[in-house]
Amino acid sequence: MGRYILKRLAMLIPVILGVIFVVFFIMDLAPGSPVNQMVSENATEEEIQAIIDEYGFDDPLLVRYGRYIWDLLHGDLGRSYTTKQPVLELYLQKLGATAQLAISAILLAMIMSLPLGIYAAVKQNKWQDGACMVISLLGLSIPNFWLGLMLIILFALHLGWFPASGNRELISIVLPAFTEGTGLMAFLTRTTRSSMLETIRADYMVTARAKGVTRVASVMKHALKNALIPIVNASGMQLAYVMAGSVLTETVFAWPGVGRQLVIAITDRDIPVITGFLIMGATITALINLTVDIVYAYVDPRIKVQYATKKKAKKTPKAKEEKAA
Amino acid sequence: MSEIMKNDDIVLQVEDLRVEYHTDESLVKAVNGIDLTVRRNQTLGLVGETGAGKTTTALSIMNLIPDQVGVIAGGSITLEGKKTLEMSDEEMNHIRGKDVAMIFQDPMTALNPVTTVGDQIAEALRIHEGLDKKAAAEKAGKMLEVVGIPAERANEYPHQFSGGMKQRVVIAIGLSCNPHLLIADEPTTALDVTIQAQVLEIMQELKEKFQMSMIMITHDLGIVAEICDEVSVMYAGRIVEHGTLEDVFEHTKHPYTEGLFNSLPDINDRSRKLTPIPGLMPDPANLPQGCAFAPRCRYATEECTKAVPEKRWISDTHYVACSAYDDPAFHIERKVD
Repeated sequence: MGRYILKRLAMLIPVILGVIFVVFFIMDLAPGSPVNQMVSENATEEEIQAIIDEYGFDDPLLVRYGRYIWDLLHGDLGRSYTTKQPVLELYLQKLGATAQLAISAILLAMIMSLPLGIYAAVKQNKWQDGACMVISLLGLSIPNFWLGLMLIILFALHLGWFPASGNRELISIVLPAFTEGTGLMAFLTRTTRSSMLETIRADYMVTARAKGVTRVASVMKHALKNALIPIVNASGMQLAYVMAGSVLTETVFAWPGVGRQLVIAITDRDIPVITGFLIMGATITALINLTVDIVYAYVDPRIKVQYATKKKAKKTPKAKEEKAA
Repeated sequence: MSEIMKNDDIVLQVEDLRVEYHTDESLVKAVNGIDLTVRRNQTLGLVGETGAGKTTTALSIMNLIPDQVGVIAGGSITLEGKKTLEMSDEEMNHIRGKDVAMIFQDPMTALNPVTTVGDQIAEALRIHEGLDKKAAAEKAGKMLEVVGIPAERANEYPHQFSGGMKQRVVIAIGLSCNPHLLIADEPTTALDVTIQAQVLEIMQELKEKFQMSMIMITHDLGIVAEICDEVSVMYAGRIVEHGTLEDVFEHTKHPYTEGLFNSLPDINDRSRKLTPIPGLMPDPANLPQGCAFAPRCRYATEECTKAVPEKRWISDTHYVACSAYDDPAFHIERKVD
């Protein structure tokens, strides 16, 4: 297992290199230059040239790429062109708010989707199933930014129960988390339902009922436990997605998170911030995926065995070599 | 034998059981009025091809017919004096696993893959005997030993066991609360021949040890010969012949039973050609009007296609459902010496 985790961590390196290259390439193709954002309107040619020289904007793409990687190896993600703040520091500053939103949204989504999905599966093809699916379809089809605005109008402007934007008090989390959570809920409900549909028909369910296990207990204990793998997988994917920054929700609620900062950076053509945030996003996504894979092993003992056999499979060729020698 | 004693001796009485499956396309008549009687400490063999309605019958006794599509259309099931079909699901939960238990055909899928085998055995004990976690785990370990698996393997998961071992675990689950009746639904079909013998031996041994009655559902006449006291031969949801082991094996009456025997290879006469029964079992959604076996029966006459044949008692213990016996001179060709 430890070996497996190390291997997965090592696989992060090519992923990050790839992400950096793609970001560099795209930013290079995009029209305009960051210089315009960095100098005053009536800057002279010399001043502009000085900045170009200082940052090496004229260097070939590969040279800039190499320089960036070199800095990255030293733990330096560069500084923002506009605020001169180190990118990593800026990212960590914004990560807290995003994590807070992401975790509340995913928890809210799970609390809603697990009962809905299980209930829909148990009542398959009956009206209750239809009702659950309509709710989840609504969650999927209502755009986040629209739902966010509607919630602000109703709960912030008219009722005044929650603040409309920002993250100054604990209660501020409610509207953004609900907005983000409904979208996630829709997908999770569908995953839960289809996964449960498979397991409630399994032979071991009849075995359980034949033992005298009640209908409810057989669903909650036997079927759900077996249905968890796809649910854990979907939740992990959703969490990774929100952790990378839920741009729309964060923007609508002026939530001081990663997504909103990224939008600001893109408008400013603040390339170090964009690149740094995307790298961190990719890293966090990969780490969440890895965590999900580790959780699998605890949910399903058969997967744990697979990790073990992978190790053994590696040992065999070695053993053969030794024999040959 | 007086009538009262006879009744006292009966563990399970199934009368005129009818089970249907309603689907969007069709009405499948899986079980069409069968009678079964299981006596104390006896084993009844329920024999027939795939699709004859054997498993449906077993699930009806457990009252576990899939409830979205399956409907028990009629009849009654009396388990030790209790009419189980009239009981609520809640009441049945106290009977399933305790008074009547079931062993399933495919041990590969019958066990929950994400729960240890010990917990799966202990679950029944906790429900019916009210044992706490520790006591249940202890007894589960003992049950594993009863079926020949070391108790310390209780913490392992089903995928760590071979097929035969899994079936032993399924048996241990079934026997954990000492049921009076055990329904074994083709318990050896999914296993290798050598393992089949082991599993059968264990079941036979435990049946005596725990003083159980048993219904052995199978299509294997060899298993029937080995462990059954009485045999019911099932075809298209009806019992076509019933009797003691001797009645059915030595004095075979029904052409279908004869066909089953003729499909068996004979080691003493290898020159004899196997004579399989021609054709296939009729579609249970579209049963013929008369005897369901008539289209495949070599003795069939026009009479056979008109009405479903009634039971005809040959002796106190033996009956056959075949209208050919209207003719006193009729006999099937199979001779047993």
